[in-house]
Amino acid sequence: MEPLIRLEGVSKVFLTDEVETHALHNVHLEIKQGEYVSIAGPSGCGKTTLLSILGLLDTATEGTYLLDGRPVSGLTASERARIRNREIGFIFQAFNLIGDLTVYENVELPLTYRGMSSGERKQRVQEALERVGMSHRMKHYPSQLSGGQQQRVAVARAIVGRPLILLADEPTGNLDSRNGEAVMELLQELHRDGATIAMVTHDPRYARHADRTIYLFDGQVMQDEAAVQQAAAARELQESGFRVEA
Amino acid sequence: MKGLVREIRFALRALRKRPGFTAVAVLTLGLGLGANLSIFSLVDAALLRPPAAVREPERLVTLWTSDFSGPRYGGTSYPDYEAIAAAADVFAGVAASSPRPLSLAGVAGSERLFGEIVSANYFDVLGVRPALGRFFLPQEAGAAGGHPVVVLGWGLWQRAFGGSRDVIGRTVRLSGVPLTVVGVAPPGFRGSIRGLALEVWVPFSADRALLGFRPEGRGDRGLFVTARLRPGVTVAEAQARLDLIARQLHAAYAQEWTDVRGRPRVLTAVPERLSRVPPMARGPVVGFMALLMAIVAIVLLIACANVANLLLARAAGRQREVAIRLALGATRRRLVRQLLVESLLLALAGGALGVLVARWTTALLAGFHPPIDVPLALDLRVDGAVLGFGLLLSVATAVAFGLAPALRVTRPDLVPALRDEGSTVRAGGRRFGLRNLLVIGQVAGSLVLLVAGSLFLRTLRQATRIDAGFDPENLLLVAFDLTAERYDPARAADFYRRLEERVSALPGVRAVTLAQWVPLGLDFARRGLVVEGYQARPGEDLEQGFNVVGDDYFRTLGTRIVRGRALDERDHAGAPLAVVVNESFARRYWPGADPLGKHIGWEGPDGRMAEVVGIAQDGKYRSLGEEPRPYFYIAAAQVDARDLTLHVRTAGDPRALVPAVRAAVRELAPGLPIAKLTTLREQVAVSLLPQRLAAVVLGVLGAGALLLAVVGLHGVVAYAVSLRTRELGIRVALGARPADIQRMVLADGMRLVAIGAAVGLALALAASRLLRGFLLGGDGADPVAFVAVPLLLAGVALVSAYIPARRAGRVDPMEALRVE
Repeated sequence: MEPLIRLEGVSKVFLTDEVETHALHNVHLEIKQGEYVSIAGPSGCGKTTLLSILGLLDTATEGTYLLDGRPVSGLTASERARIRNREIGFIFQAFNLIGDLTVYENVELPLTYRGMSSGERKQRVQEALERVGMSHRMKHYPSQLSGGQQQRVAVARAIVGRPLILLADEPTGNLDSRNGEAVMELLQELHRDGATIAMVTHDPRYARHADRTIYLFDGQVMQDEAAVQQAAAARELQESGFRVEA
Repeated sequence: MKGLVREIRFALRALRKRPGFTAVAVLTLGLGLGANLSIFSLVDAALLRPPAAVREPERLVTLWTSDFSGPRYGGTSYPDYEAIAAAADVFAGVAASSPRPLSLAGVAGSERLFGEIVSANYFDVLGVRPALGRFFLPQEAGAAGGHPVVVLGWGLWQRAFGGSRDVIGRTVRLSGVPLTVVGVAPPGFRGSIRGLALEVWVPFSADRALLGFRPEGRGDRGLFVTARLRPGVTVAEAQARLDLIARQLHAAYAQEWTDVRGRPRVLTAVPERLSRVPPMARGPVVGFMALLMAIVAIVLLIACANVANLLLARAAGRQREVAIRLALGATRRRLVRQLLVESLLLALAGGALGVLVARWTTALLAGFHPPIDVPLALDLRVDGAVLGFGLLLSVATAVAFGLAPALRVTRPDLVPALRDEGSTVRAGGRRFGLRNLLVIGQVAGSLVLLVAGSLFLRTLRQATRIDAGFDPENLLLVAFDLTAERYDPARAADFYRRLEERVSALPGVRAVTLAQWVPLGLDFARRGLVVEGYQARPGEDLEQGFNVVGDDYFRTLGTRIVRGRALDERDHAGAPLAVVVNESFARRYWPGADPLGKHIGWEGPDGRMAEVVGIAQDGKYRSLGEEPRPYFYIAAAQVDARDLTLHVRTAGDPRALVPAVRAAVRELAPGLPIAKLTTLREQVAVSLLPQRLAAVVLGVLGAGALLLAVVGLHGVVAYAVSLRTRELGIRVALGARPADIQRMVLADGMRLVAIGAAVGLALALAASRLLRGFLLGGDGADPVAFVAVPLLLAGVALVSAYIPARRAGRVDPMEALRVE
């Protein structure tokens, strides 16, 4: 069966003031339908860049990205917007709810970009809010909610459009441990119900919730956590003047 | 559609949540749009709005006979009107009218008003229906007299007769002629001359005494002619017919139909929509209106720049929201639309405020009556056309100030924005460029307005130093129109003589005289001349301005006689005709020769040769800005003059003498209306009215524009400081002193001001060339305006930029470096 996501030799180079920064280097990756993958690695290893490319928020400098079997490199801005709207659900570390909109309107937002009828929108929003246990707060504004509640609303917004994949970027980063656990539970439940999830985290406790963990170091995919630690140690030695045999 | 409703709802909520921003934006736009709507309502009333109560105005044309001295558009004589009216193949009807001051006898004395003496078919041709009674009948056509009837204007009917329906059949005395009221014109109808308050209409056939022209005289060209085209006939076809009539008239009456250059006169048809301002005045009027529109357009552009700057500042705070929407699948087009909906709501609210401003200013303008002897009445109001223009302008304004920020904000770096790193944008980055450009534009625009305003202020100051050839202080002017009161020449002369005696005897009076025209008045008479010893070149215009003056005129006015003598009691009715010419007249026609004893003659029924007895100093006759021009004076006692103005030189305030002069007039001629009562100083002020208005309008708008510009500058500098907080913290941590930081921030702000001022100065220099015609003397390159105004602007801008600069100097490095 064709994987939902396939990256082949993907690299990402940022150019700032004539300085090249290699955020990703020759990344090969597959995520299958229904899989729960966590992306781990130290700060600055390229986790968020990888997630942004997966979510079509950014483009790769090199390599091929196939989403559900279709290459995404040649898509126009509006085609990319359509895919973000229908096939991808985002959960951000900073929640990214819109302060001027109510809970209901925040969750409804992706559906309004589809031209869906208001009746159907209403039904979907209610379902999503019930799913995350926030239907009793649908008339509230984000500022009236706790961090944990805001993130649950953000999860509802991510799932309301029934996307192919949920992309979560440090979803517990702004939460205390109790609320963090609750959100992880929620993702777990969604996964049990069939959702495909790719989650960036630097916390090994949360990474272990996933079926599989992809380790990144200096923009490259490593075999496992031990390989990451070895590479980190090697670099440390290299920077202090030692030559290391691979 | 549903999406749009939702966007409007969200936009309203977003605006409500930021009441400060919304209020400032709406107020700014309201003032800019209000200024535009006010001027547009003036343009609408003067040029655009079809005449009220007139049927199918698109089929109306005005017809003009070229003037003897050359201009294409002049009045028409009665016999020529009859010849044109016979062209029934192209015209369904041809009407003639002649406006004139009249006096209406009432219980409390006479009221002076303006009316039209008209052909009997006047209302039929215009397609006007009476509000009450009837208009004129076919049997009331012609100019033979015997049909003493009158139609009242709606306003006069309400004012003088309380709107009573019994007015029909009543007799009123108009300039001494008893006339029967047969009808009342509909509300809104004000006759055929836009801007003039005409209140009665009398047929040519009413009474010869009211005509004011000789119907048999082909040289009496004072009629306005309006024709209604037959259905399907074009203006070009009518013009072809008029060309034929003009050729026939030239063939039959070669002398009257040949102009000063020996060319045949021509007839011209002008569509009604192009003759709302008479064609001879249309150029200057349209030019002045265009100038006003340009001024208020600059103000609106500055307002737009300010709101765009506010939106850009706000956009920085909205990048995250926009990034979220984009991440959730919104297209950029959709987001731009949503942001434009917000801009549109702001602009519409500003437009609504602008309508209120326009209502207020039009009421103010409508209530303004300049002290002139012609009753002006422009129907200024905020009507459908003004509202429609306001709506269009609001939409255009929304795009003007909203599109660039909307395009800018919907192109964020998604990933940093979503991670809330968008606020740490580098100072000096591209994002900041548009805001800088807007501030530069604002500074330039306000500088143009302020320089133009100060040029007019300087011209007003300049006016007080111009030697006008007379002393405007302490001189009272009292005008009567004895022709309208049917005084014969002998009775008029007697009245004037006795009045002069009475007023001379009043305490505080130093000198008294009479004259037909007041210096710098709206009337200016010219006469074609024959000059002894001067051979006119081919096509040379020998028409020159003149005045008819009483004894002691030059002493009373303070005009020096440089050679010879003044006109005085020696120049009585039976004496040889005498004239005084001015220095320019003498220089032009008798260079190097002695003008005293030379003769000049004028054309017309009383054309005789007159001897030059004196030379007066040059003066200003039509405007203070005019170049010296030839001018001559005739003795009032030697011509028939029944519309003279009393000139009273007083020791103190001339207005203090008004009750005594009124009492003297009442005693001599009970019920005689005073046509005008003013002072020469006020008359001079009226002649400077365009400059004064321009100075006030430009000054007020320029000050408003400056305020907007400095607010914009403050916003930009403050925004730059907020963007650079981290950078400033690093600088402080590295040893920069607060003064260093302040200097750096101030320099950035003032660099924008310097660029804006340079652009503004170049534009102002170009504008001053265009304004040269309105300025008195000089070429508009006034060093005071071009140095003082930029310095003033720089000073104000410095204060505005200093406030955020001072704040920048107080940045706490620990705090600043914690900013993420």
